[in-house]
Amino acid sequence: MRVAQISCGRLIARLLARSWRSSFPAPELNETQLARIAPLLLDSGAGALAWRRISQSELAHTAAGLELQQAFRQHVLLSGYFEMKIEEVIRAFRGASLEPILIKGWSIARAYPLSGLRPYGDIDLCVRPNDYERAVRLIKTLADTPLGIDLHCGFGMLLDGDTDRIFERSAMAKLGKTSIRVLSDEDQLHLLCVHLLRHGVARPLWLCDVAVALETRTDNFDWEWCLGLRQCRANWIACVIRLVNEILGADDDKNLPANVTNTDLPKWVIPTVLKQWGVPFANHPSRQPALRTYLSRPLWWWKALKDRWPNPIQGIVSHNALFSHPVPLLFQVGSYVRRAAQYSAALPYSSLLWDVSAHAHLDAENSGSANQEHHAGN
Amino acid sequence: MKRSKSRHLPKARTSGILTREIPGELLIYDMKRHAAYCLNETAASIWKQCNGKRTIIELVRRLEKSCKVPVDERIVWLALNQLEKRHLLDPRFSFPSQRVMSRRGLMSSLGLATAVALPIVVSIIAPTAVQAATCGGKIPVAQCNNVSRVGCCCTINLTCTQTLPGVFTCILPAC
Repeated sequence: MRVAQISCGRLIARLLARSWRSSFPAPELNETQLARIAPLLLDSGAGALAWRRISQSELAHTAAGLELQQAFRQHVLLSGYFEMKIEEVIRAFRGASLEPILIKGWSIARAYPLSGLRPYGDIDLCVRPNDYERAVRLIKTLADTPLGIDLHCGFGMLLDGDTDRIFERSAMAKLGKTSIRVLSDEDQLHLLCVHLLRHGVARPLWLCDVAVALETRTDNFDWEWCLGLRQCRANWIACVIRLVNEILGADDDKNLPANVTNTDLPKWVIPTVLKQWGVPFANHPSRQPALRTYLSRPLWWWKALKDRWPNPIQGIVSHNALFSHPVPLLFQVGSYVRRAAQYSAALPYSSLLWDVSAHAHLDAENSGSANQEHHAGN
Repeated sequence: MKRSKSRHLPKARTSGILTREIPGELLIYDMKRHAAYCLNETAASIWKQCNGKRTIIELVRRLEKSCKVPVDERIVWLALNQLEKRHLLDPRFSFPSQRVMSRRGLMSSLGLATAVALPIVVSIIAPTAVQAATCGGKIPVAQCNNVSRVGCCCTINLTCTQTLPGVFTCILPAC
Protein backbone atom coordinates (compact mmCIF):
# COMPACT_ATOMS: atom_id res chain seq x y z
CA MET A 1 0.00 0.00 0.00
CA ARG A 2 1.37 3.39 -0.97
CA VAL A 3 1.46 5.95 1.80
CA ALA A 4 0.58 9.46 0.65
CA GLN A 5 3.55 11.77 0.94
CA ILE A 6 3.03 14.82 3.10
CA SER A 7 3.25 17.95 0.99
CA CYS A 8 6.19 20.32 1.39
CA GLY A 9 3.82 23.11 2.37
CA ARG A 10 2.35 20.99 5.15
CA LEU A 11 5.83 20.04 6.40
CA ILE A 12 6.90 23.68 6.42
CA ALA A 13 3.81 24.61 8.41
CA ARG A 14 4.50 21.78 10.82
CA LEU A 15 8.11 22.85 11.34
CA LEU A 16 7.46 26.57 11.69
CA ALA A 17 4.49 26.19 14.02
CA ARG A 18 5.23 28.19 17.19
CA SER A 19 8.92 28.46 16.20
CA TRP A 20 8.92 32.14 17.22
CA ARG A 21 8.04 31.35 20.84
CA SER A 22 10.49 31.01 23.71
CA SER A 23 9.56 27.34 24.05
CA PHE A 24 8.08 24.90 21.59
CA PRO A 25 7.60 21.16 21.21
CA ALA A 26 10.10 18.97 19.36
CA PRO A 27 9.69 19.03 15.57
CA GLU A 28 7.52 16.29 14.14
CA LEU A 29 9.42 15.43 11.01
CA ASN A 30 12.28 13.20 9.99
CA GLU A 31 15.60 13.83 8.26
CA THR A 32 14.30 13.06 4.77
CA GLN A 33 11.40 15.40 5.21
CA LEU A 34 13.68 18.15 6.48
CA ALA A 35 15.97 17.67 3.48
CA ARG A 36 12.96 18.09 1.20
CA ILE A 37 11.87 21.39 2.66
CA ALA A 38 15.24 22.94 3.59
CA PRO A 39 15.77 24.57 0.16
CA LEU A 40 12.28 26.06 0.32
CA LEU A 41 12.87 27.36 3.84
CA LEU A 42 16.19 28.89 2.88
CA ASP A 43 14.76 30.35 -0.29
CA SER A 44 11.90 32.04 1.51
CA GLY A 45 13.97 33.43 4.39
CA ALA A 46 12.58 31.07 7.04
CA GLY A 47 15.83 29.12 7.44
CA ALA A 48 16.79 30.74 10.73
CA LEU A 49 13.39 30.10 12.28
CA ALA A 50 13.53 26.51 11.11
CA TRP A 51 17.01 26.16 12.63
CA ARG A 52 15.73 27.42 15.96
CA ARG A 53 13.00 24.81 15.91
CA ILE A 54 15.40 21.92 15.22
CA SER A 55 18.46 23.17 17.09
CA GLN A 56 17.79 21.03 20.14
CA SER A 57 16.90 17.91 18.18
CA GLU A 58 18.91 15.29 16.30
CA LEU A 59 17.95 17.00 13.07
CA ALA A 60 20.40 19.77 13.95
CA HIS A 61 23.30 17.51 12.98
CA THR A 62 21.98 16.54 9.57
CA ALA A 63 23.21 18.12 6.34
CA ALA A 64 19.99 20.10 5.97
CA GLY A 65 20.18 21.12 9.61
CA LEU A 66 23.68 22.49 9.16
CA GLU A 67 22.54 24.52 6.16
CA LEU A 68 19.79 26.02 8.26
CA GLN A 69 22.31 26.80 10.98
CA GLN A 70 24.47 28.62 8.45
CA ALA A 71 21.44 30.64 7.40
CA PHE A 72 20.84 31.59 11.02
CA ARG A 73 24.46 32.69 11.45
CA GLN A 74 24.30 34.76 8.29
CA HIS A 75 21.03 36.37 9.28
CA VAL A 76 22.38 37.23 12.72
CA LEU A 77 25.32 39.07 11.16
CA LEU A 78 23.19 40.67 8.49
CA SER A 79 20.74 41.91 11.12
CA GLY A 80 23.60 43.49 13.02
CA TYR A 81 24.81 45.19 9.85
CA PHE A 82 21.34 46.40 8.92
CA GLU A 83 20.68 47.74 12.38
CA MET A 84 23.79 49.85 12.11
CA LYS A 85 22.75 51.14 8.70
CA ILE A 86 19.17 51.83 9.78
CA GLU A 87 20.49 54.06 12.54
CA GLU A 88 22.63 55.93 10.00
CA VAL A 89 19.73 56.38 7.59
CA ILE A 90 17.30 57.55 10.26
CA ARG A 91 19.87 60.03 11.55
CA ALA A 92 20.30 61.36 8.01
CA PHE A 93 16.52 61.76 7.65
CA ARG A 94 16.27 63.57 10.96
CA GLY A 95 19.19 65.77 9.94
CA ALA A 96 17.03 66.85 7.00
CA SER A 97 14.03 67.40 9.30
CA LEU A 98 12.25 64.36 7.94
CA GLU A 99 10.54 61.88 10.21
CA PRO A 100 9.89 58.56 8.46
CA ILE A 101 8.07 55.54 9.82
CA LEU A 102 9.95 52.29 9.40
CA ILE A 103 7.65 49.51 8.28
CA LYS A 104 8.14 45.75 7.80
CA GLY A 105 11.78 44.56 8.09
CA TRP A 106 13.33 45.57 11.38
CA SER A 107 10.04 46.89 12.78
CA ILE A 108 8.69 43.34 12.99
CA ALA A 109 12.05 41.55 13.34
CA ARG A 110 12.53 43.26 16.71
CA ALA A 111 9.46 41.45 18.04
CA TYR A 112 11.09 38.04 17.53
CA PRO A 113 12.89 36.56 20.54
CA LEU A 114 16.32 36.56 18.85
CA SER A 115 18.03 38.86 16.41
CA GLY A 116 18.52 37.13 13.06
CA LEU A 117 15.42 34.96 13.21
CA ARG A 118 13.61 37.30 10.87
CA PRO A 119 15.86 38.42 8.00
CA TYR A 120 15.13 41.45 5.89
CA GLY A 121 16.72 42.77 2.76
CA ASP A 122 15.93 46.46 2.62
CA ILE A 123 14.73 49.42 4.62
CA ASP A 124 11.09 50.37 4.05
CA LEU A 125 10.43 53.95 5.04
CA CYS A 126 7.14 55.82 4.81
CA VAL A 127 7.05 59.58 4.78
CA ARG A 128 4.18 62.05 4.64
CA PRO A 129 3.24 62.89 1.03
CA ASN A 130 4.40 66.50 1.55
CA ASP A 131 7.86 65.28 2.51
CA TYR A 132 8.21 62.74 -0.26
CA GLU A 133 10.13 64.82 -2.81
CA ARG A 134 12.59 66.00 -0.19
CA ALA A 135 13.07 62.42 0.99
CA VAL A 136 13.77 61.25 -2.57
CA ARG A 137 16.42 63.95 -2.91
CA LEU A 138 17.93 62.97 0.41
CA ILE A 139 18.15 59.31 -0.56
CA LYS A 140 20.07 60.26 -3.68
CA THR A 141 22.69 61.82 -1.45
CA LEU A 142 22.97 58.58 0.50
CA ALA A 143 24.31 56.78 -2.53
CA ASP A 144 27.08 55.16 -0.54
CA THR A 145 24.57 53.31 1.61
CA PRO A 146 24.80 49.81 0.16
CA LEU A 147 21.25 48.96 1.05
CA GLY A 148 17.93 49.19 -0.69
CA ILE A 149 15.94 52.03 0.80
CA ASP A 150 12.36 51.54 -0.23
CA LEU A 151 10.70 54.90 0.17
CA HIS A 152 6.91 55.06 0.30
CA CYS A 153 4.77 58.13 -0.18
CA GLY A 154 2.32 57.68 2.66
CA PHE A 155 1.14 54.12 3.13
CA GLY A 156 -0.46 53.44 -0.24
CA MET A 157 -2.89 50.59 -0.12
CA LEU A 158 -1.19 48.87 2.78
CA LEU A 159 -3.02 50.97 5.35
CA ASP A 160 -6.45 52.44 5.03
CA GLY A 161 -6.44 55.32 7.47
CA ASP A 162 -5.49 58.95 7.17
CA THR A 163 -1.69 59.37 6.99
CA ASP A 164 -1.55 62.06 9.68
CA ARG A 165 -3.62 59.89 12.00
CA ILE A 166 -1.29 56.94 11.41
CA PHE A 167 1.68 59.14 12.24
CA GLU A 168 -0.09 60.35 15.38
CA ARG A 169 -0.66 56.79 16.51
CA SER A 170 2.87 55.66 15.69
CA ALA A 171 5.31 54.67 18.41
CA MET A 172 9.03 54.94 19.06
CA ALA A 173 11.26 51.87 19.34
CA LYS A 174 14.83 51.86 20.52
CA LEU A 175 17.57 50.66 18.20
CA GLY A 176 21.00 51.13 19.73
CA LYS A 177 21.19 54.82 20.59
CA THR A 178 18.52 55.83 18.11
CA SER A 179 14.75 55.95 18.49
CA ILE A 180 13.02 54.66 15.42
CA ARG A 181 9.45 55.59 14.59
CA VAL A 182 7.36 52.51 13.92
CA LEU A 183 3.67 51.83 13.42
CA SER A 184 1.32 51.30 16.32
CA ASP A 185 0.61 47.64 17.10
CA GLU A 186 -2.79 47.91 15.44
CA ASP A 187 -1.51 49.45 12.22
CA GLN A 188 1.40 47.03 12.17
CA LEU A 189 -0.87 44.00 12.30
CA HIS A 190 -3.16 45.51 9.68
CA LEU A 191 -0.26 46.25 7.35
CA LEU A 192 1.32 42.83 7.78
CA CYS A 193 -1.96 41.11 6.96
CA VAL A 194 -2.66 43.21 3.87
CA HIS A 195 0.92 42.94 2.60
CA LEU A 196 0.88 39.18 3.04
CA LEU A 197 -2.41 38.81 1.18
CA ARG A 198 -1.39 41.07 -1.68
CA HIS A 199 1.51 38.71 -2.26
CA GLY A 200 -0.72 35.66 -2.05
CA VAL A 201 0.83 34.48 1.26
CA ALA A 202 3.86 33.47 -0.78
CA ARG A 203 6.32 33.31 2.12
CA PRO A 204 5.73 31.39 5.34
CA LEU A 205 7.86 33.98 7.11
CA TRP A 206 5.20 36.62 6.51
CA LEU A 207 2.64 34.47 8.26
CA CYS A 208 5.08 34.03 11.16
CA ASP A 209 5.30 37.83 11.25
CA VAL A 210 1.56 38.03 11.74
CA ALA A 211 1.78 35.38 14.44
CA VAL A 212 4.47 37.34 16.27
CA ALA A 213 2.61 40.63 15.94
CA LEU A 214 -0.54 38.94 17.19
CA GLU A 215 1.09 37.32 20.18
CA THR A 216 3.13 40.35 21.23
CA ARG A 217 0.24 42.80 21.02
CA THR A 218 -0.37 44.98 24.03
CA ASP A 219 -3.22 44.44 26.46
CA ASN A 220 -5.03 47.55 25.28
CA PHE A 221 -4.87 46.53 21.64
CA ASP A 222 -7.60 48.36 19.73
CA TRP A 223 -9.17 45.72 17.52
CA GLU A 224 -11.63 48.18 16.07
CA TRP A 225 -8.80 50.34 14.73
CA CYS A 226 -6.87 47.33 13.53
CA LEU A 227 -9.75 45.84 11.56
CA GLY A 228 -10.51 49.22 9.99
CA LEU A 229 -13.69 50.68 8.64
CA ARG A 230 -14.00 48.74 5.41
CA GLN A 231 -15.80 45.42 5.56
CA CYS A 232 -13.43 43.74 3.12
CA ARG A 233 -10.34 44.71 5.12
CA ALA A 234 -11.87 43.46 8.36
CA ASN A 235 -12.69 40.21 6.59
CA TRP A 236 -9.15 39.86 5.25
CA ILE A 237 -7.53 40.47 8.60
CA ALA A 238 -9.91 38.10 10.35
CA CYS A 239 -9.14 35.44 7.75
CA VAL A 240 -5.38 35.89 8.15
CA ILE A 241 -5.71 35.55 11.91
CA ARG A 242 -7.76 32.39 11.49
CA LEU A 243 -5.17 31.15 9.01
CA VAL A 244 -2.22 31.80 11.29
CA ASN A 245 -4.10 30.14 14.07
CA GLU A 246 -4.93 27.03 12.08
CA ILE A 247 -1.66 26.63 10.16
CA LEU A 248 0.92 27.83 12.66
CA GLY A 249 -0.92 27.44 15.95
CA ALA A 250 -0.63 31.10 16.90
CA ASP A 251 -2.48 32.81 19.72
CA ASP A 252 -3.75 29.79 21.56
CA ASP A 253 -5.34 31.88 24.25
CA LYS A 254 -8.31 32.61 21.99
CA ASN A 255 -8.43 36.10 23.37
CA LEU A 256 -9.69 37.41 20.08
CA PRO A 257 -12.73 39.55 19.31
CA ALA A 258 -15.94 37.82 18.25
CA ASN A 259 -15.85 39.27 14.74
CA VAL A 260 -12.55 37.49 14.19
CA THR A 261 -13.43 34.15 15.76
CA ASN A 262 -16.81 34.13 14.02
CA THR A 263 -15.25 34.59 10.61
CA ASP A 264 -15.22 31.42 8.59
CA LEU A 265 -12.03 30.64 6.78
CA PRO A 266 -13.05 29.25 3.37
CA LYS A 267 -11.91 25.68 2.83
CA TRP A 268 -9.80 26.55 -0.19
CA VAL A 269 -7.55 29.01 1.65
CA ILE A 270 -5.33 26.58 3.59
CA PRO A 271 -4.65 24.27 0.61
CA THR A 272 -3.88 27.34 -1.52
CA VAL A 273 -1.37 28.63 1.01
CA LEU A 274 0.29 25.27 1.56
CA LYS A 275 0.54 24.72 -2.18
CA GLN A 276 2.13 28.16 -2.53
CA TRP A 277 4.71 27.34 0.14
CA GLY A 278 5.71 24.23 -1.77
CA VAL A 279 6.87 26.36 -4.69
CA PRO A 280 10.24 28.13 -4.47
CA PHE A 281 9.76 31.78 -3.65
CA ALA A 282 12.02 32.56 -6.60
CA ASN A 283 9.19 31.38 -8.86
CA HIS A 284 6.75 33.84 -7.33
CA PRO A 285 5.38 36.41 -9.82
CA SER A 286 7.01 39.24 -7.90
CA ARG A 287 10.44 37.73 -8.60
CA GLN A 288 9.97 37.14 -12.30
CA PRO A 289 11.89 39.28 -14.77
CA ALA A 290 9.96 42.26 -16.14
CA LEU A 291 7.63 41.40 -19.00
CA ARG A 292 9.49 43.73 -21.34
CA THR A 293 12.44 41.36 -21.15
CA TYR A 294 10.39 38.78 -23.01
CA LEU A 295 9.38 41.06 -25.88
CA SER A 296 12.16 39.85 -28.10
CA ARG A 297 11.69 36.24 -27.03
CA PRO A 298 8.22 35.08 -28.13
CA LEU A 299 8.98 31.51 -27.12
CA TRP A 300 9.13 32.61 -23.54
CA TRP A 301 5.77 34.40 -23.57
CA TRP A 302 3.79 31.37 -22.53
CA LYS A 303 6.00 30.88 -19.49
CA ALA A 304 5.89 34.58 -18.69
CA LEU A 305 2.10 34.63 -18.82
CA LYS A 306 1.73 31.38 -16.91
CA ASP A 307 4.02 32.58 -14.14
CA ARG A 308 1.84 35.63 -13.64
CA TRP A 309 -1.39 33.78 -12.97
CA PRO A 310 -2.50 35.05 -9.51
CA ASN A 311 -3.59 32.69 -6.79
CA PRO A 312 -7.18 33.06 -5.51
CA ILE A 313 -6.02 35.10 -2.52
CA GLN A 314 -4.37 37.69 -4.73
CA GLY A 315 -7.41 37.70 -6.99
CA ILE A 316 -9.77 38.44 -4.12
CA VAL A 317 -7.57 41.10 -2.56
CA SER A 318 -6.93 42.88 -5.83
CA HIS A 319 -10.71 43.28 -6.21
CA ASN A 320 -11.36 44.33 -2.61
CA ALA A 321 -13.67 41.33 -2.36
CA LEU A 322 -14.55 39.12 0.59
CA PHE A 323 -13.00 35.72 1.18
CA SER A 324 -16.47 34.28 1.53
CA HIS A 325 -17.18 34.76 -2.18
CA PRO A 326 -18.19 31.39 -3.63
CA VAL A 327 -16.22 31.67 -6.87
CA PRO A 328 -12.73 33.12 -6.28
CA LEU A 329 -11.76 32.04 -9.79
CA LEU A 330 -13.71 35.02 -11.11
CA PHE A 331 -11.36 37.36 -9.28
CA GLN A 332 -8.30 35.50 -10.49
CA VAL A 333 -9.47 35.92 -14.07
CA GLY A 334 -10.45 39.52 -13.41
CA SER A 335 -7.11 40.31 -11.83
CA TYR A 336 -5.22 38.71 -14.67
CA VAL A 337 -7.24 40.45 -17.36
CA ARG A 338 -6.95 43.78 -15.63
CA ARG A 339 -3.20 43.55 -15.34
CA ALA A 340 -2.90 42.40 -18.93
CA ALA A 341 -5.06 45.35 -20.00
CA GLN A 342 -2.96 47.77 -17.98
CA TYR A 343 0.15 46.42 -19.57
CA SER A 344 -1.30 46.44 -23.08
CA ALA A 345 -2.55 50.00 -22.64
CA ALA A 346 0.98 51.06 -21.92
CA LEU A 347 2.48 49.29 -24.92
CA PRO A 348 2.11 52.00 -27.58
CA TYR A 349 4.01 54.45 -25.45
CA SER A 350 7.65 53.57 -25.32
CA SER A 351 8.31 55.68 -22.26
CA LEU A 352 5.67 53.74 -20.36
CA LEU A 353 6.71 50.49 -21.90
CA TRP A 354 10.09 50.68 -20.32
CA ASP A 355 8.67 51.61 -16.95
CA VAL A 356 5.99 48.97 -16.68
CA SER A 357 7.41 45.95 -14.97
CA ALA A 358 6.23 42.58 -13.90
CA HIS A 359 5.86 44.13 -10.50
CA ALA A 360 2.85 46.15 -11.54
CA HIS A 361 0.81 44.81 -8.66
CA LEU A 362 3.57 45.75 -6.26
CA ASP A 363 3.82 49.21 -7.73
CA ALA A 364 0.14 49.71 -7.14
CA GLU A 365 0.59 48.65 -3.56
CA ASN A 366 3.52 50.94 -3.08
CA SER A 367 2.07 53.84 -5.01
CA GLY A 368 4.68 56.52 -5.09
CA SER A 369 7.35 54.19 -3.88
CA ALA A 370 10.84 55.20 -4.95
CA ASN A 371 12.82 52.04 -4.95
CA GLN A 372 16.51 52.53 -4.88
CA GLU A 373 17.02 48.98 -5.93
CA HIS A 374 15.22 45.95 -7.24
CA HIS A 375 12.02 45.55 -5.28
CA ALA A 376 10.93 42.12 -4.24
CA GLY A 377 8.36 42.81 -1.61
CA ASN A 378 10.32 42.41 1.53
CA MET B 1 63.09 47.20 22.02
CA LYS B 2 59.66 48.00 23.44
CA ARG B 3 58.18 48.26 19.97
CA SER B 4 59.64 44.89 19.06
CA LYS B 5 58.05 43.32 22.11
CA SER B 6 54.63 44.82 21.43
CA ARG B 7 54.65 43.26 17.97
CA HIS B 8 54.26 39.91 19.72
CA LEU B 9 51.35 41.04 21.89
CA PRO B 10 48.24 40.18 19.93
CA LYS B 11 45.44 42.69 19.59
CA ALA B 12 42.01 41.91 18.21
CA ARG B 13 41.10 43.97 15.20
CA THR B 14 38.12 46.17 15.92
CA SER B 15 37.81 48.54 12.99
CA GLY B 16 35.44 47.42 10.26
CA ILE B 17 34.40 44.47 12.37
CA LEU B 18 30.88 43.56 13.40
CA THR B 19 30.37 40.93 16.08
CA ARG B 20 27.36 39.10 17.36
CA GLU B 21 27.24 36.44 20.03
CA ILE B 22 24.95 33.48 19.84
CA PRO B 23 24.92 30.50 22.21
CA GLY B 24 28.34 28.81 22.06
CA GLU B 25 29.67 30.92 19.20
CA LEU B 26 30.93 34.35 18.31
CA LEU B 27 30.09 35.52 14.81
CA ILE B 28 32.33 38.09 13.16
CA TYR B 29 31.65 40.00 9.98
CA ASP B 30 34.68 41.67 8.43
CA MET B 31 33.04 44.54 6.60
CA LYS B 32 36.22 45.58 4.82
CA ARG B 33 36.89 42.17 3.32
CA HIS B 34 33.24 41.13 3.19
CA ALA B 35 34.03 37.92 4.99
CA ALA B 36 32.25 36.25 7.88
CA TYR B 37 33.59 33.89 10.51
CA CYS B 38 32.30 31.74 13.27
CA LEU B 39 34.49 31.28 16.36
CA ASN B 40 33.87 28.56 18.87
CA GLU B 41 33.98 29.42 22.57
CA THR B 42 37.71 28.81 22.96
CA ALA B 43 38.68 30.91 19.95
CA ALA B 44 36.20 33.61 20.93
CA SER B 45 37.52 33.73 24.46
CA ILE B 46 41.10 34.17 23.24
CA TRP B 47 40.17 36.75 20.58
CA LYS B 48 38.27 38.86 23.12
CA GLN B 49 41.25 38.87 25.49
CA CYS B 50 43.68 40.10 22.86
CA ASN B 51 44.01 43.76 23.78
CA GLY B 52 47.57 44.34 22.63
CA LYS B 53 48.84 44.40 26.21
CA ARG B 54 48.50 40.81 27.35
CA THR B 55 51.27 38.34 26.78
CA ILE B 56 50.65 34.82 25.60
CA ILE B 57 51.16 33.55 29.14
CA GLU B 58 48.52 35.94 30.39
CA LEU B 59 46.14 34.78 27.67
CA VAL B 60 46.77 31.19 28.75
CA ARG B 61 46.02 32.07 32.38
CA ARG B 62 42.83 33.85 31.45
CA LEU B 63 41.68 30.94 29.33
CA GLU B 64 42.44 28.55 32.19
CA LYS B 65 40.41 30.74 34.49
CA SER B 66 37.40 30.84 32.17
CA CYS B 67 37.57 27.13 31.29
CA LYS B 68 38.58 26.03 34.80
CA VAL B 69 41.06 23.51 33.36
CA PRO B 70 44.79 23.61 32.61
CA VAL B 71 45.48 24.95 29.13
CA ASP B 72 48.48 24.19 26.95
CA GLU B 73 50.11 27.34 25.57
CA ARG B 74 49.95 25.83 22.11
CA ILE B 75 46.16 26.13 22.24
CA VAL B 76 46.54 29.90 22.33
CA TRP B 77 49.10 29.83 19.53
CA LEU B 78 46.76 27.69 17.47
CA ALA B 79 43.95 30.21 17.97
CA LEU B 80 46.21 33.16 17.16
CA ASN B 81 47.42 31.37 14.07
CA GLN B 82 43.88 31.03 12.76
CA LEU B 83 42.86 34.53 13.78
CA GLU B 84 45.88 36.08 12.14
CA LYS B 85 45.31 34.21 8.89
CA ARG B 86 41.77 35.57 8.77
CA HIS B 87 42.89 39.15 9.44
CA LEU B 88 41.10 39.25 12.77
CA LEU B 89 44.17 40.50 14.62
CA ASP B 90 45.77 43.89 14.38
CA PRO B 91 48.16 43.67 11.39
CA ARG B 92 51.01 44.97 13.55
CA PHE B 93 51.00 41.64 15.37
CA SER B 94 53.53 39.18 14.05
CA PHE B 95 54.32 35.67 15.14
CA PRO B 96 57.72 35.09 16.73
CA SER B 97 59.72 33.13 14.17
CA GLN B 98 59.87 30.05 16.37
CA ARG B 99 56.07 30.06 16.58
CA VAL B 100 55.37 30.14 12.86
CA MET B 101 54.11 26.66 12.41
CA SER B 102 51.31 25.24 10.37
CA ARG B 103 47.90 24.63 11.87
CA ARG B 104 48.29 20.99 11.01
CA GLY B 105 51.63 20.93 12.82
CA LEU B 106 50.12 22.50 15.89
CA MET B 107 47.17 20.14 15.77
CA SER B 108 49.34 17.07 15.53
CA SER B 109 51.64 18.19 18.32
CA LEU B 110 48.66 18.91 20.55
CA GLY B 111 46.98 15.64 19.73
CA LEU B 112 43.70 14.95 21.42
CA ALA B 113 45.06 15.26 24.92
CA THR B 114 43.54 18.62 25.70
CA ALA B 115 40.94 19.30 28.33
CA VAL B 116 39.73 22.41 26.58
CA ALA B 117 38.07 22.38 23.19
CA LEU B 118 40.45 23.25 20.38
CA PRO B 119 39.93 26.76 19.07
CA ILE B 120 38.13 26.79 15.77
CA VAL B 121 37.66 29.69 13.42
CA VAL B 122 35.61 28.80 10.37
CA SER B 123 34.50 30.87 7.45
CA ILE B 124 30.83 31.22 6.82
CA ILE B 125 29.43 32.62 3.63
CA ALA B 126 29.32 36.37 4.01
CA PRO B 127 25.76 37.51 4.51
CA THR B 128 24.10 39.27 1.63
CA ALA B 129 20.79 40.98 1.29
CA VAL B 130 19.94 38.39 -1.34
CA GLN B 131 19.85 35.68 1.26
CA ALA B 132 17.77 37.83 3.52
CA ALA B 133 14.82 37.87 1.21
CA THR B 134 15.36 40.09 -1.73
CA CYS B 135 17.95 40.64 -4.38
CA GLY B 136 19.04 43.80 -2.60
CA GLY B 137 21.80 44.90 -4.94
CA LYS B 138 23.28 43.11 -7.91
CA ILE B 139 24.74 39.65 -7.55
CA PRO B 140 28.00 38.44 -9.09
CA VAL B 141 27.48 36.18 -12.10
CA ALA B 142 28.97 33.28 -10.17
CA GLN B 143 26.22 33.56 -7.58
CA CYS B 144 23.54 32.93 -10.19
CA ASN B 145 23.64 29.25 -9.32
CA ASN B 146 20.42 28.27 -7.58
CA VAL B 147 16.71 28.94 -7.52
CA SER B 148 16.99 31.54 -4.80
CA ARG B 149 18.89 33.77 -7.24
CA VAL B 150 16.32 33.56 -10.04
CA GLY B 151 15.02 37.03 -10.80
CA CYS B 152 17.99 38.76 -9.21
CA CYS B 153 20.01 41.31 -11.15
CA CYS B 154 23.49 40.21 -12.11
CA THR B 155 26.39 42.63 -12.11
CA ILE B 156 26.45 42.59 -15.92
CA ASN B 157 22.95 44.06 -16.14
CA LEU B 158 21.25 40.78 -16.90
CA THR B 159 18.78 38.79 -14.88
CA CYS B 160 19.61 35.48 -13.26
CA THR B 161 17.36 32.94 -14.94
CA GLN B 162 16.84 29.19 -14.83
CA THR B 163 17.40 28.12 -18.40
CA LEU B 164 17.19 24.38 -17.85
CA PRO B 165 16.47 22.32 -14.74
CA GLY B 166 19.47 22.94 -12.52
CA VAL B 167 21.09 25.37 -14.95
CA PHE B 168 21.21 29.03 -14.00
CA THR B 169 22.49 31.81 -16.20
CA CYS B 170 22.56 35.59 -16.22
CA ILE B 171 20.67 35.92 -19.44
CA LEU B 172 17.65 38.20 -19.71
CA PRO B 173 18.38 41.91 -20.06
CA ALA B 174 16.01 43.01 -17.34
CA CYS B 175 18.22 45.04 -15.09
